[in-house]
Amino acid sequence: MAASLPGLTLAAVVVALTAGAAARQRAPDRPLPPLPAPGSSREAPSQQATINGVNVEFSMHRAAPASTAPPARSGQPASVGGPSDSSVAGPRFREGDDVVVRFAMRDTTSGAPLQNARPAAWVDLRPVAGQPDAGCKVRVQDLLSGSIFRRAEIDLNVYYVLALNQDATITVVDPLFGFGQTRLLALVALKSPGEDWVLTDDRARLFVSTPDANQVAVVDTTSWQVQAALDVASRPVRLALQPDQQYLWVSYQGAAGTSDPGGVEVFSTATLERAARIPTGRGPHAIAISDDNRFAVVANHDAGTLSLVDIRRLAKITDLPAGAGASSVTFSPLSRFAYVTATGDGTILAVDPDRAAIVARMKAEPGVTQIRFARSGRFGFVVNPARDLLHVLDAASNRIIQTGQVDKGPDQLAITDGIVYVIHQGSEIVRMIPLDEVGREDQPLQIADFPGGQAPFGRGLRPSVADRVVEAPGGNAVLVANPADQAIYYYKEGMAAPMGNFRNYGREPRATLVVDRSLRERTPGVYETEVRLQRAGSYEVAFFLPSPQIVHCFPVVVDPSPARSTERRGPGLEVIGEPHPPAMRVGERTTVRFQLIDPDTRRPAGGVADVRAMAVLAPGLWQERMRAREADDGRYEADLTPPKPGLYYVYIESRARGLSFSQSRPLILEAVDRKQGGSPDPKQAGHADHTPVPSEPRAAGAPVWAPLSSAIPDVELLDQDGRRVRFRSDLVRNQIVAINTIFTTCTTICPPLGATFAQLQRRLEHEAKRVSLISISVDPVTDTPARLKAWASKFDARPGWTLVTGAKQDVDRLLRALGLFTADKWAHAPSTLIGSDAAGQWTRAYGLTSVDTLAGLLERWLRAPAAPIPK
Amino acid sequence: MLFFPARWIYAASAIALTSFAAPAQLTPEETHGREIYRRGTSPSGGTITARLSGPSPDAARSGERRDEVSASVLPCVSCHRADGRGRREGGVVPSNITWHALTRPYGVVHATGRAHPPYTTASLATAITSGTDPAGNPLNAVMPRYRMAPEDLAALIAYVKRLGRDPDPGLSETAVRIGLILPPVGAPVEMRRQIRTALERWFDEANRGGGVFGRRLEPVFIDLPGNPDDGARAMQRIVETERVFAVAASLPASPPPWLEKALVTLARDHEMPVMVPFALDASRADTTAQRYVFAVHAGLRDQAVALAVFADRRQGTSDRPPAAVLVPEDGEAQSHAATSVVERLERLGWRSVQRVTVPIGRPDATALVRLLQRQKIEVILSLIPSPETEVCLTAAAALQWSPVTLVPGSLVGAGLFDVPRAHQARLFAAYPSLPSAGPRVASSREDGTTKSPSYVIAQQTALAAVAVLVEGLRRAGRDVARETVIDALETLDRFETGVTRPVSYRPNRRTGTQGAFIVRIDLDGRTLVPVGEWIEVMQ
Repeated sequence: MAASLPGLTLAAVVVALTAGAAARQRAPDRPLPPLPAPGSSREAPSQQATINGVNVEFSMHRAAPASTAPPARSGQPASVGGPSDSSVAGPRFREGDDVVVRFAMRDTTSGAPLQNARPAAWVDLRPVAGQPDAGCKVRVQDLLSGSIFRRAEIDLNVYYVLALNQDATITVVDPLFGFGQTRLLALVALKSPGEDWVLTDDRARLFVSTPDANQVAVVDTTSWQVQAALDVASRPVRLALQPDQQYLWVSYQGAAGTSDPGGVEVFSTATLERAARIPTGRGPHAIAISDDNRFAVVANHDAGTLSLVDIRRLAKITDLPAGAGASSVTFSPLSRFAYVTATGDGTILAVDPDRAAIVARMKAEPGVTQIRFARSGRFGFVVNPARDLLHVLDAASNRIIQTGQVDKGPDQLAITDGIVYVIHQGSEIVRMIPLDEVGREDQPLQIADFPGGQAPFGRGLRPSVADRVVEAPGGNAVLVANPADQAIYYYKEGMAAPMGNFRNYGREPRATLVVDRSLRERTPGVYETEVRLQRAGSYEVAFFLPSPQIVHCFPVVVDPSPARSTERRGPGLEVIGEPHPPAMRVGERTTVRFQLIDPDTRRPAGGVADVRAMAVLAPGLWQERMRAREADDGRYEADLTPPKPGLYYVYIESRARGLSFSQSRPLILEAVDRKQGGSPDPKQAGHADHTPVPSEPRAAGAPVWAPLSSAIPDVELLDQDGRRVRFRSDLVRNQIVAINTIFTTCTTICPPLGATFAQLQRRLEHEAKRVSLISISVDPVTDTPARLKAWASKFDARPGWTLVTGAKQDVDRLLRALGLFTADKWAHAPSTLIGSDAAGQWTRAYGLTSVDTLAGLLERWLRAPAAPIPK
Repeated sequence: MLFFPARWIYAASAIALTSFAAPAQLTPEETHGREIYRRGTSPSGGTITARLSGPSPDAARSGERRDEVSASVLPCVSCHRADGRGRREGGVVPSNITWHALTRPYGVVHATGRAHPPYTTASLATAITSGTDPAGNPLNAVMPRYRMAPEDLAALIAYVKRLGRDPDPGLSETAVRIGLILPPVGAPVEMRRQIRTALERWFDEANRGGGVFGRRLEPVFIDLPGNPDDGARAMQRIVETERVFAVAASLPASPPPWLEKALVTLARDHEMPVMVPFALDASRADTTAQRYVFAVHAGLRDQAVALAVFADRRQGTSDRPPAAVLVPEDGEAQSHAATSVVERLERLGWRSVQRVTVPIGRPDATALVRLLQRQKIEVILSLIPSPETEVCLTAAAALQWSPVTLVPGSLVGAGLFDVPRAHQARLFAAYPSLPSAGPRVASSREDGTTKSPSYVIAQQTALAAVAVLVEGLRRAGRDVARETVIDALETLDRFETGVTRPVSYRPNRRTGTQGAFIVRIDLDGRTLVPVGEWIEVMQ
């Protein structure tokens, strides 16, 4: 469920904008046929860019209509031409359109789709006339680096937050519109209040159990409409989706007067047909599915049993006695045992599904309820709301190894990569246990906390079976639904309190869920997401791929909708902040600068007399209003003296021009303590180190070939024999060169890269002296020369193929200059850089392409007469 | 007296056998397939090649085979792993190819949208040779197209059907057998006995605590004879008769070279995790074996380098005096250690570092000392056996000369506490951990045996070695294999063994604690007195 953005570290950004600028080229010689894409019938004309050996085809089309949507919108062709900005080419849409944004990527040399990539994209207003245009790369850099300071009109890398409410609704909220400035995207109406929910891995559908309606609602996450309903025997509550997404498991209650005690119904997610009904015993029930999709286990509370179900046959294997009040069940991926808690007996059983046998019985006190495992599967956590306890069990030994006292009525657990969160019925305090402190037998648990709102979580409500705390994409943060507060809080790990919150539009959220909306690979090489175009304007879609680095902006026009113009109450002015606002220091006066734009003329709005600003310290701890003054044409400023460290949101109003505080997008500034030298945010700190962004790349001499944007550094490295080599003078100078990146502990893509180089070397044997094959280790810390030598010998590497490692900073510097740097070695792309140093011409190819293709690229230079060395 | 009818005993043992024997041993065909899966080579000697097609229509049309490589560089196991489940890497997600996953009755829908009906034996053969799934979709370009004899293909598929149900030797549903190599014959009897008792107690406790994923930890004690030929046979027994899953060895800090080599061979040939107390010199040279041999502590070389670093720090801002490294005439490990010491000292700015080879047995100590004294040597790092060091120090004292003398802990014998007092405050040693039993233990001669400090450390280290190995088993999960234990051990980061400094491993780090404590050998109190902090030795 993680957004694609977290994978983009700042380091990657730097590269993208320096070396990555290397080779923006014109279209390749031969036109590429379009990649097959889903629903291509409504395709708008596409735009293409070829950069760094990758062809990116961008298109946008109206989303498939939901069954309940007005027919007028369905399949309407994109309007061509319109009043708003005829100077901009590109597809045109109308405000209010739900569109599918699609990028199809493939390698230019082989035409192979670029799979498993992690692109990011934004829909941003084009620069205002009269404002200097820093260029696409600078804008993308801003969008990536200062994401909290600089937001695009539409961020395609975001997530929506859903609340499962006490009433029969689900609220769908875009939280990144700024705290206090959230946007209610949809209110999904259910037939009866929802009890549990589960989202499909492809994020396309949300299943919601509605016990009072005896149904499971199927919600489409593009239209946010209930698309279908699954009829269930009686009172469906718990939902579970198999890891392979094939079956949805739904618990049902036995109907009075029948012999059916209740159990589970199984639905095919493809057909929404019921595949089986399996009576398991009197509930309430809990369901867990094994990682390998072989077993389902159902805890039957009133029956005190655990039912083991074979998924292949959709038939029960056996019932095992689980103890009085079997209430929660889960699997450990590490032990592959199922664990079930019995509230009445106070026991936790470990069950081996292969042998259908109980393998361990752990004794705790009566009252134990929820059990959950940390991701590694080693440590499990169990709460006891009756005795205010938290237990830790070790799946390796099947024993309880640690126990800690928590607050009143702990009843829910949420576990991220680093922290176990404990929610309590009787308290608003959220307890946190750092995972790296867990596992020291009989040692006290280290427990920290933060307030998850004002009211205890259980106030006035039935406890929900669905999660009240969920991990926010991007990691190190969670969202906490507090029903009585009617609010959802955003908490970042390491802080003393939530960083912000939003009101749930007057409803009590019993559970919350995050829906990642970032680009997702739908078919090989084709990445899509859906979005609603809220406002008319002239936009560009900014696209970024970290590896191989690609930055490009595609123009798009959104026309005003006649239907919406009458109802539109848009702000009378647009507020644009500085791309890099000053870092404020507590107690020091800072000038906040911004520009006002007339949305109709797209020109600066000068001479507005009644401009006022309101600064709010998140999450609403302090606020101050001040009058703003005009500096020059449409530029205004106001003075702010922050009283405390934190994030400040500055809203702007001008009553005369129809701009209210609530309509304005806030400017966001951060204040730090005076003694601190600068921003505590490492991202921001790193920002200062950015290498200057080069201007647009030099014109390429040939369609595919281009000079590198920065000189190849002559760093000193070690080759596979431990000899010191200077990269440029010893390996590259006056050679025909192919460079790939490998590391010796990588077993999936590196051996093929090695095998390809080995074949390439043999193929070009007759020219061995002129060709230099180089493999650079992207894991120089691990890869010693001896390891590289051993690795190369597997492929029978001969002289002329040099493998290099060295000091990490030197290797990283080199990789950046070559545009081959990746922050995460496991995500390293199989790119091969090919070129002639003498000619100063380079190209990038997909490293797993055929040897023919790579050899052809090298032979081009072997055949060519010596080219003049560029100045 | 109890009497059981014979058939009951028979029945009982039959049950025990069946529960232990499941899952069944691989058939000859499956074993054949296993080699193809793991190594990309055919036991029958047939050629197996892999073609990384990429989409190269020209090559496919012409049926050309020039892009083919030996499958040994691209065996199935490198992407799909030993358990068949694969691991995401570099933007490639290898499919789960366990037979269960391939044959789900409702087919498979991949995250990228590629969907196909369940595999059959025939369609799996097509996938392996032609790179298409049962629906005819092309597989990812990273998946090579293999060419092999029909018998090889059949064997490979037979083995694929066993993936995930092919336990390594020493592993059953209910137990995992750990070989525990005791110090070779010749080591003090009492030391061997105490190590064995401590290990037995450790295993008992671990088993009372639930074992590992429901399996009992079964210690298999192995006595090593004192000579190379019997030693080789003992190693063979470990594999063939005892069938242990992994080995933890209690060795002296400088084991005889044949023993080092035997352990390294065991690890390499059987891809078996081998825990040793101190980094072996022999595994430094063998890059294949390196993967499997984990040391708790730094070996002789890193102890010596820690002493060099200590000597340099001790010098403060004053000039670096001439120094000498004493090397035995035929010690390969000592010679390697000396090279590292000389390199390190030169890097630290010591201009005169001599390497002095000392004949072992009857060195002319006085002549040697006179030579060193004439050269104005002020610091001596001794890599010769303890008795020789002792003789030299006695000779030096007679000449009223007391250079700073540094000795790796593994070369400290009890006699070093008895050298002339002239060397008080000038004699230092390096140890990977400080004997927690207290300094007194260092030279006690109770019960007639000689306990050197390394005696205590040997016990601690033997316990640490099993603690580390078992933590590897715990992290690897129930579906454990030798390979996954190796992977799991590589994730240990400052793991607390309870008896040593925290240990860490990484893909290129096989030494748990890489450095040493420096202690002064106090001749008055006959104790070890810690000097300063831990010295970490960077490679």
